[in-house]
Amino acid sequence: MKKVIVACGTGMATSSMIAEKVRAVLEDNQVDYTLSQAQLSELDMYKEADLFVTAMRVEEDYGVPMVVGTPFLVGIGEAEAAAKIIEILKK
Amino acid sequence: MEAILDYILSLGSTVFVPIVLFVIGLIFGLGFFKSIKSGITVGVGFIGFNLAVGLISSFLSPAVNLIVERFGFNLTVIDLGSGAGAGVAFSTVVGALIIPSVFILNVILLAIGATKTMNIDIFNYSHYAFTGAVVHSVTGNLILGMGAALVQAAWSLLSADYTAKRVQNELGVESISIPQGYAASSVPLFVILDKIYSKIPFLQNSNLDIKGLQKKVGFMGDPVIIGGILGIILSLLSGYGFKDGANLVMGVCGIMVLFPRMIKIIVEGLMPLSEAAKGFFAKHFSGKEVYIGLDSAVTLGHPTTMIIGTVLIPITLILAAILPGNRVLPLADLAFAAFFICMATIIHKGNILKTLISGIINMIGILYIATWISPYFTKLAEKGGVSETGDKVSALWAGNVFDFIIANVGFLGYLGLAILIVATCFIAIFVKRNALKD
Repeated sequence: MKKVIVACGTGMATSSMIAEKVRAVLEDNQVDYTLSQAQLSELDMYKEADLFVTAMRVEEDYGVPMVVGTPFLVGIGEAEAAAKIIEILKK
Repeated sequence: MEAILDYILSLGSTVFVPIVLFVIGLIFGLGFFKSIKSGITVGVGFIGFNLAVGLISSFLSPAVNLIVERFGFNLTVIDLGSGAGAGVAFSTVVGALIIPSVFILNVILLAIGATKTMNIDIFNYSHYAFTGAVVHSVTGNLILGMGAALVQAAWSLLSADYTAKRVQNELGVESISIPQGYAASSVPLFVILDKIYSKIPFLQNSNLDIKGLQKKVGFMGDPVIIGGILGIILSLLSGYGFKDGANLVMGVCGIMVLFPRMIKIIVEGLMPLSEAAKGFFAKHFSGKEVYIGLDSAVTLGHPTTMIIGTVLIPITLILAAILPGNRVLPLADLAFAAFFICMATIIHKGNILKTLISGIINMIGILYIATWISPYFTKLAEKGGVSETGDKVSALWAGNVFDFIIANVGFLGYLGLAILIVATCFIAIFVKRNALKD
């Protein structure tokens, strides 16, 4: 079971939009997962997660692999971001 | 015609808005079931909202009235926050027409090259609708109301174009811009202040590093903590004993936690429409340089925004108490303080001290504009069934400079609308020549 955290500034609107797309990607690739939404400021509470998908570039290193999820909002570079997510989780 | 319109509006926002969204969903080609789901989900968000607003009447209003009696306290207008503001805006005639109208305006402006931004942040069309609804209600003329709303939509697109490169650079995300109704309106002030700061030697290269502070103050931005502290202050001021006081604290915490949850439901309902709009733009404008206009929420993770957004909460309360002439008691929008300064972070390139000063100056303006707009807000909120009769309400959300300018000029009638349209053309030319570089 892979634990995925999708984070944006408020943990509400933007991360909901990204989360919906990430779920679709994970299901298409038959990844066994749980997904939660969080605020970017509380990411250090989720250090046991397998992947962070964030609404913007984050400088701090939490020791968890990170993918910037904005392509899912914008619709450009979605395939690349999805490939990166799968690569991290299938390792 | 007028009678039919009045009947439809009298259905209340919880019925009226879903019907409108259902029709818009069909027009956008979402199909029957997705359209129904989208409309009803938003309606459910409004129902949740009205339930949560009940908390204000039952817990907060009695306490505020007591404080008014005891101290001659003048903060009698309660801040219902952005969610209620959006609910009020969408429950008006202008609100019903806003989504297709802004969409068509955006397509035209993109086609003639007046903007590069396609605004898919549909929830925040509510800012434009609100200004339009105020103008409609004052002038009694729907064309003037729609005109005002569309002028604000255009200004927001232009503001987004102006800051696009800087936003992309600061966030590390390509091809986006921020036309969000509030954020866009705060850009002119922050740009002017940035020019002034560059003339002040002390501020020019100030390099205050308080990253460590984030972990220390971070908890203060938590809605429960804000609600708790605010509840205790209000209980003490109203002279409540433990029982009433504890109930008030819980009531205020309830407002702080529940209001944003309801906004989440409304945004979820609007998501399919936003996706459909994105698909349309992508199909018809591929090959052109186009920015995708997103909610300013995408910028909130910036460390400067997180820190100053939190520090601004107590500052806002102090300002509200000491500013002469302010009537607004900041409440539901306190938890969203970061939204008010997120563009300052971008324009000041993350400089903490500049962002803090800009944030304070901006907040003073917000409180005065929110006070000014409160009679209109109250009237529209009662009509839309969002607030109970007798309560005076407003929102920091409406403390928007674009609202203030466009509404005041819009009140002049067709002459005002003409002035606004001419001004928009000049702004468009200015933005084309002077857009911010990274």
